[in-house]
This record gives sequence, C-alpha cells and structure tokens, in this order.
Amino acid sequence: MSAAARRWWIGAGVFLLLVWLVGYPLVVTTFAAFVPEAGGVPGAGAGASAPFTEFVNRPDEWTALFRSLWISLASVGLAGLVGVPLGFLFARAEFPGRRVLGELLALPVALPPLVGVIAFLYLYGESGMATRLVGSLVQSSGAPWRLTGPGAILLVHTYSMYVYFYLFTRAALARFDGAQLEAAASLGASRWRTLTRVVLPGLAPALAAAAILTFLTALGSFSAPYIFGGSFRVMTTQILASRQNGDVDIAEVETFFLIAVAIGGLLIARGLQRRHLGRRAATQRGTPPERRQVRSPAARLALALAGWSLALLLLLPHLTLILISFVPRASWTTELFPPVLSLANYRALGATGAAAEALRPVANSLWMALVATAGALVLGFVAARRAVDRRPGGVFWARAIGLLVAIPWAVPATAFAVALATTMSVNSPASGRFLLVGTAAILPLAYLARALPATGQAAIAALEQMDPQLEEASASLGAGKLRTLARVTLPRVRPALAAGASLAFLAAFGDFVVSIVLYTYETRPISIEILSNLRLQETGVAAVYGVLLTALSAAAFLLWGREKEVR
Amino acid sequence: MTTPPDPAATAAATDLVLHDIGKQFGEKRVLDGISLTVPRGEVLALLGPSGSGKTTLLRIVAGFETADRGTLRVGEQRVERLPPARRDFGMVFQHYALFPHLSVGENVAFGLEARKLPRAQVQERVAAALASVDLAGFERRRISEISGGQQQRVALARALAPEPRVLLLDEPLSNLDPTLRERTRRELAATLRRIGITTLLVTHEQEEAFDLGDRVALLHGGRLAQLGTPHELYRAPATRFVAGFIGRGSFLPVTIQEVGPQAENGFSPTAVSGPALAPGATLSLASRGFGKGKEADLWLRPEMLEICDGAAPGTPFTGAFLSARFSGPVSYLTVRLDSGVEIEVMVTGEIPAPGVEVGLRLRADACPKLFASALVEGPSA
Repeated sequence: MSAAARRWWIGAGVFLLLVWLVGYPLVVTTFAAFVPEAGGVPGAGAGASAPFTEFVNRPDEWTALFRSLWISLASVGLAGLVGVPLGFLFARAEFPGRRVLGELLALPVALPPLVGVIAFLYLYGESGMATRLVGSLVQSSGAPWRLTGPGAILLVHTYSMYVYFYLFTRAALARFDGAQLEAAASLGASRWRTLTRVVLPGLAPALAAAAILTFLTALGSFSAPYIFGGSFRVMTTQILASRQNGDVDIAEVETFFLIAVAIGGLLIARGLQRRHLGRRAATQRGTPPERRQVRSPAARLALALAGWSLALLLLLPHLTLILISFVPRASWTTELFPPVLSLANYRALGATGAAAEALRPVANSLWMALVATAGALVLGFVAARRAVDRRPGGVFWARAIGLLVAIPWAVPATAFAVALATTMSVNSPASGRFLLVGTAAILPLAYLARALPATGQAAIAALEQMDPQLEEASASLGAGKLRTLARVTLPRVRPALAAGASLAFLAAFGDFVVSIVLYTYETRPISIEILSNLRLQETGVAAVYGVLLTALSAAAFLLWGREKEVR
Repeated sequence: MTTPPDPAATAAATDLVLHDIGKQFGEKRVLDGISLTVPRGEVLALLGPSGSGKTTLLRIVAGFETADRGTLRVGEQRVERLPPARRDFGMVFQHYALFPHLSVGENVAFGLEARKLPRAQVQERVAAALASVDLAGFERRRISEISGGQQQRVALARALAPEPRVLLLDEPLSNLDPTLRERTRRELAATLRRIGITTLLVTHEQEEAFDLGDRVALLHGGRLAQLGTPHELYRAPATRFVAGFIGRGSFLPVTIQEVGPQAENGFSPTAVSGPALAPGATLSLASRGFGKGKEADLWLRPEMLEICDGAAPGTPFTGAFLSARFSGPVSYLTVRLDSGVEIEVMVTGEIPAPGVEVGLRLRADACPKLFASALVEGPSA
C-alpha cells in the first residue's frame, strides 16, 4: 500500500471512531425524535410523530426554549460588561498586586460549576451567610432577597463566565501592536477615538470568540438553573424533568431542539465572524504598548483596594464553602455565624466502616475522570494528527475530523448525555449500539466524548504551530516513527496536551450535568453525592465533598495546567 | 572527521544518481525529467529562481516527497522507496529545524542515538562534531541561548555527526545577515572540502552556488536548464534563460550579415549589424546554427565592453551616458544607444558626466553570444 493510501485508511478509521462517539448519538436521537417508537432503529414504527407534535403544541416547551435563548444572550452581555473592563485594567495598568489578582480573577472558570453554585447557595441563599448578615443589618424578619429565578441564574452565570471575556481581552491586548496606538496618536486621534476606532475593532475577533464560548456555556448550563431556577425552567432542566417524569420521547425532541439552537447559534456566530472579522485577526504584530503606571498614590490605593475587594468577593463563595464544611449537622439555626465549628463532617467521611462507602464517590470520580482523560488524550492526539495532515491521502479526512473533534463543545452537555443514553440503551452491535447505560462504562465514555474538544483542540493547535521540519529533521537523522514521536513530537506538544488534559480532567472530575443523566448508584460521582446530601439537609457533608472536589481540581490544574513551553 | 578514502577507489559505489525525476502537484508540473549524477565528494549546487523546482527536488532526494516517476540511486542501491530515516542522508534545513527542547549536545547526538551507538561513542562523536564547527564545549547550551550563526553550525554538526553518505543543504545560509553569511559560507566551503562528502545544495543565490558548488545545476520551470562548472555557466550559457539569470548582461537585436565556414568546434565566424549598432558598423563573433539574414539577439556582459572614442570610424556602438551604479572597485554605467536601447558597461576608472556622448567597443577577450531572437523564441526562453 502506498503511503497516501495508508494515510487515507488511517484517516477513515479515526473518522469512523469519532463519528460513532460524537456524531452517531446525535443522529440516533434526532431520528428518535421524529420516529418515536423506533428508538432510532430505522424501519420500525415509522410514521408516528406524536412527541414531536406534542412538543410543538405545548407552550411551556417554547417558553423554556425562549428562556434558554434570552438567558444565554443576557449572560453574554453581563459577562462582557464585567470581563472586558477587567481585561483592560489588568492588561494596561500597573498597580500593586496586579499579578496575583490577575491570576485570582481567572479562578471561577477552573472550579466545578456545581460547587460554585452551592457555594453561592451557602452565601446568598435563603439562609446564606450574606443573606443573614444583611437581614440582621436591616432588621428584616425574613430574608432580604430570594436567590431564585432568572436573576439568580444570571448572577451565577456572570460570576463564572466573565472569565472568558476577561482572559480573551487580556490576551488580545497583550498581542496588540503598540505602534497602532502611536500611529493613531500621531494622526491626532483622541483617546476615545483611538479606543473606538483602533483598539475595540482590533479586539473584535477575541470578543467574538469569548461571546460564542459564553453563549454556548450558558445555553448548556445546568447546575445554576437546576438549583436556583425553581419553576423557571430552561431547556436543560426541562429535558431532565421530562426524563424523570418518564417522558423519554419528549426529552429526545427537547434534546433535538436544544442541539439545533446550539449549532444554529454557533453557525450564525461563525458566519458573522467570517463576514465581518475575517481579515482582522492575523494583522496584529509587533510589541504591545507599555503598561500605564498608575502614579497618583490615591489612585494606586483605590485600585489596590478595589482589586482586593473584588478578589475577596470572588473568593467569598469558596471561603464560605470551606467554613460550612466545619459546621456540624443541625448546630446552626438562627445565629449570624455558625456557633460550633468542628471536624465532625470530615471525621464522618474518614470513619472506619463508613469510610469505604463515603469515599466511594471520590474514588468513582477519580478513576472515571482519569480513564476519560487518558482516553481523550490518546484519541484527541490521534485525531489531531489526522486533522492537521496536509499530505496526499491524509488531507481527505482532515477537515471532517477537525470538525468532529469540536462537536461536543457546541452540543450542550445535557443534550449529549440524553443522546448517549438513547443510543447506548439498546444492544445492537450491528448498528454500532451497545447496551452501556447502567454499566460502569457509560460515564467514562460520556466524559471522554465531552473532554475530546479540550484535548483534541489543544493538540491540533500545538501541532499546527510546530515546525513540520522538526519531524523531517528527525527522520533525516535516521530516527524511526516511534522515536520521532517520543523524542520530538510529544515533547513539543506536551505543554498543550497537559493543559488540555487538565481541562479535560477538571470537566470530568467535577461533572454534574452528564452524570445526573447517566449515573448508577454504584458509579455515582462526587457531584451526585453532593446533591443527595443537600437533599438530606446534610449541608456540612455536602460542603466537605465540595471542598474535596475543589481541592483535587485545583491540584490537577496546578499540576498539569501550567507547563511552560521550551522555546 | 576522517579524511575520505581515495575518491577513485569508491566512486562507483557512492555516486548519487538521479534519473528522470518527475513530479506534479495537481495540474502543475514541478519537475520534468531531471537526470543528474553527483560523483562522490562533489558539491553540486541546485540553483534557480523560486518556483523552479529545486527545493522539491531536494525534498525528493531526502525522501520527504515522493517522485511521480524516475529513480534515485546511491551507487548501486536504489533508494527512492526508502523512508527518509533509512536513506542515511544528512540534511541541513533552511530554518535549521533544531529541536528547541533539546540541548546543543542532545541535538547533535540525536542521529547517533537513532543508530543505537554506545553512549561513550556518542559523546565522543558529539564532541568531535561540535569541535569541527568551532563549537567545542557547547554541549549543554540551549538552542535559544546561541546565536543564529552558531545555530547554523549546530545544524551542520548534527547532520554530519552520523557520517551520512550524502549531505543535503537547503538554503543553509539564507537565514544569516550578510556579513555573517559571507564568513559562514567560507567556513562551510572549507568544511565540505575537508570531509569530502557528496553534497547537494539548494540555493537561489548565484554567488553562493558559485562559491560552494564544484558544479552548478541551473533549474528552470522544472527542467535542467544547464549543468556545468560555475565558469561554464558564466562564460558559455547554453540558453537565453541561463544568460539572463546568471550575472548581468544585455540583449541587443541584430541581423546576421555574413556566416563564414564552420570550424571544428562547430562555430562559424559571423558578422552582425543592425539597429542597435552604429550606422554602417558590423561586429564579428563566433556563432553556431544561425543562417545569413536571420534576426538574432546579441548578448553582451558589461565586462565585455569598454568605452572608446565614439567618433572613431568602425566604433560598433555609440550613445549617451545615462547613469552610473558605483559598487566599489568597479562601476556599472548605463548607456542609451542611439537606437534607444540601454546597455550596461563595466568600468574601473572615471565616471563620465551625464549626457556625454560615448562610443563602446568589445574588449579583446570578450566572447559575446547570439541567441535566437526573443520575439521568435518567446519571452520565457
């Protein structure tokens, strides 16, 4: 077989595997949405499209869809309002504490969404600490506010998603060519004019990317609407409610619509991006402008104070979580601060006999996340090799593979979980469907598919940046394929792979959305255990699990996420 | 580095032979029937404008591209189907392609380790290779810590350390600034001569090809335009393209007046006249394959001409001095001939004042050439 033919066949194999993993469940679910009784098997029960008609005729379904849409758009607006100014401040000004604060500001994105949400609950919920404090200050008998409905969802979204705008703005400003600012100034432009005509248009590609990311994250967001939404249902919570009510067919139609909105939104955004911003992205070269030193002592003090208050505000939910984890059950009723602090909750976890059962969720989450990360790492790298292959034979599959790797990123997690549940609840190996629902394999598989964009996209970016001549140089020096892979390619892409792996691990380890659809009691992860403890009013134990989840996530992030490239 | 064995003894075993290499990218024919033999120890420079196919040819020899047709041999061994790792060729890349995550020593050791040499021997040969490029003791340095010129030498040491059968150099000096390039070129020439390795060098710079190459293969549009020593290419260009690409020169339209009897070398004494020459003047030279009355282009290098008194009878060219380009030891004057055609003349002395009428004549040692008229042959020839 010629080299080109071999590349074609390898590409075809990788393509098929990816299609099976990320594309096929969506197809099966779409099919099931239109042909209900079939469960995706072609031919059976054709013609009946009752759930679809039911969906179309039910106003609350449309309401949920509409809410998902406006909540996502509002999240984009609010996150932008917070993130962009912060990005400017930390990219352009120099003041005491800038470095540490700048890192702290990125924290919310690294923390498991469910943990963030329950931390908010402990802080601003009906009996939260901030709520009690403010309530006692204004001498109100009840809670001064209620953390529920769209306002609460948007608050949590803003808190966790401003980070995208903040990081993208900072990175774009760090790449910005300072000569452009000097050119604008030399042409007599005012600072305002420079900002609106030079800087913001230059940032547009980064802002657009942040907006798309925020939109998709908000659209797929589940924890916040689930905990705080109450009767305010968005599409993700609607899907779970339908499933838990036994309306599996309706859930499939809802899934189809949510995916359609997500992919539609992504395509519209990409189209706008291409039409209006296509030529801007690559033009920014040169050195960024110097950071402006804030000189006035008063302004420096004000900035530092504001910065540290902000950091405190950001860290407060998690500090609260830690505090609550030391509060024994039923020891805290009406007091402003918890009267008793002890290690009881932690001891309960470590108690002999109970320990094995109590630690099981931690062990489950750990092994499932590790397996999923390892799988996503291998598959992501193999797929990335194919996706960047421009040689004869290889180029045929490259685009399709690149697209497949990105799909799970655009599909809301709830929708993907339902699609996987639909597909893998039937044993029909001939049509590529295996009975995996209810087994220990389904969650790692789902995590793996969800994590694929993190590892795959990172590997694609790293491989595309790598000088292709390095591999040729290795071959010309007599190194075989394995040696070249081990000694040249992998060391070059390792930082990117490690970063991708840490993101993949964080997502899998802290996952709540996919788990709640697919878990079994035996394989319940930490997030599910947190939820059931919350239901049992075991707030302290839930907080302990939350602290464990956060600590292990932070450790993974620090361990793998920050490897530096050797230049 | 050991001194090579007597070339004559092993010549047949290690010649690099390219036969009828052809390559197409889609509809575009990049290489069209290239046949070349690089005898053992020779440095052959592949010269040509961008898009001439020289880099593709080098990549085919290295094994990074596959030729659509043709064969590649080292001595008796066919290598065109071998993967690059098994060809035992060393290569220096245009941007060096040094492994940034490995130290200088690890880079040079890479090829030796791939050949599974014992550790002690690897260290020994790394040290020797680095010493041979004047970088002894640089083993532990990082690639980012050394200068561009040093990186170039590390790349050379890395390619040579495994003692490959053939060395491939892809524009090895193009990344260096001009002063460094000059010095590095001399060092490279000395190294290649000292170790006597069969070398294929790609360059788009004539000076580099002439300086480093024992012979030069000039490629044009995927074909071999001419293969010869630098001297042959300069003095006796085979085609109008070679004449135009190598060095400086002017083409003047002329008409063949007389063609004398053919000499043993195939050339005939020929007299030409025409609108570019002064009225009534004729010029005598040797030509081959031109008939009386035919139109042709007369090719003259600036150093074939000298300034003379324009009023003297028989002066072949008269015109007005237009401008001068001073380049140190010599200057190139542009003269607008009376026919309106501009021509370049090399002078070593005084530069005349602009507008002065001058006469031009051939130097005694000049060897002008006739090429078929561009109008007939087409602009690409």
